[in-house]
Amino acid sequence: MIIDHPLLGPRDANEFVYLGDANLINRPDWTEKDADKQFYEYLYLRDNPSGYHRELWYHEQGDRSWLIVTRNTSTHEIKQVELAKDYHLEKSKSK
Amino acid sequence: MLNFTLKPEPPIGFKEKIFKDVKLIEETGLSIVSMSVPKNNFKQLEKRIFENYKIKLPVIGKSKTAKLNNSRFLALQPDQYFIIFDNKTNYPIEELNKSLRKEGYFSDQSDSWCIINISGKNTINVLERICPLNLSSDVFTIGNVNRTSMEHIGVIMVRITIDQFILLSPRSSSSSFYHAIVTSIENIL
Repeated sequence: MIIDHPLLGPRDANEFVYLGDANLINRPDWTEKDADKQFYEYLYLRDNPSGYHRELWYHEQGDRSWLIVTRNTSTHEIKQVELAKDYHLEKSKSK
Repeated sequence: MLNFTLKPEPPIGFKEKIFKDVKLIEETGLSIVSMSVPKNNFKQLEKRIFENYKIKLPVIGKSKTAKLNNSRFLALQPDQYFIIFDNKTNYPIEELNKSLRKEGYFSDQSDSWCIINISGKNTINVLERICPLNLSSDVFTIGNVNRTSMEHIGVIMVRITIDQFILLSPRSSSSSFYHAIVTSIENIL
């Protein structure tokens, strides 16, 4: 599988480490009233779709960046690759 | 007081080996320093580098050479560079700070890496067997640099000419790395 890195171009998936659902970035706010429930969902409940899935990959044998890869879990087709840092910065701005 | 001095040892110790169409040289006597860019200080650092080395910092995935101390700047990841240069002292960071005056964060990594210079007509054939990067000369062009892995060992590779590369690999696994390259050479001979 080839991952088209936004900074480095197409790189072999062997260079990456898979972490899982990209929703891990969206850590709940511990000051919220229902923080317990939110953390329970955040830690234990995962979607496991057959189809497109946003997931975190770490470029360990490359530039050590975290990527959000939108991958079809049935066909391994990769639709989109973005830097997790960019996603996080964009999210912080919109808050 | 101790009455002996420590003698530096190269990581692998083979100096130079010539196979049929491939030549390996173990580069020694070079300093390797990693440079991180302090937050909001990129312009100042770039200015200082331009004043002293007469180059602009390369973009990620590229390297640049400068005359001062035969320095080579490798842009490996955002805000992170390696500088490889000739240095006869035991204090490479002090050497760098003579020109860069603490504008970057430096970390001496000279003793942490082995450097193998591989060249010759069959170099691509040797490397493509163990390296997942696309090494064709129009994709991985001269001056390009990338981290990758060979036989599960981390490697930084720089393309010097069409069939010459510099390979940096962690010192602790340098013998295994050398073995991986030699095995690949033997497989194509």
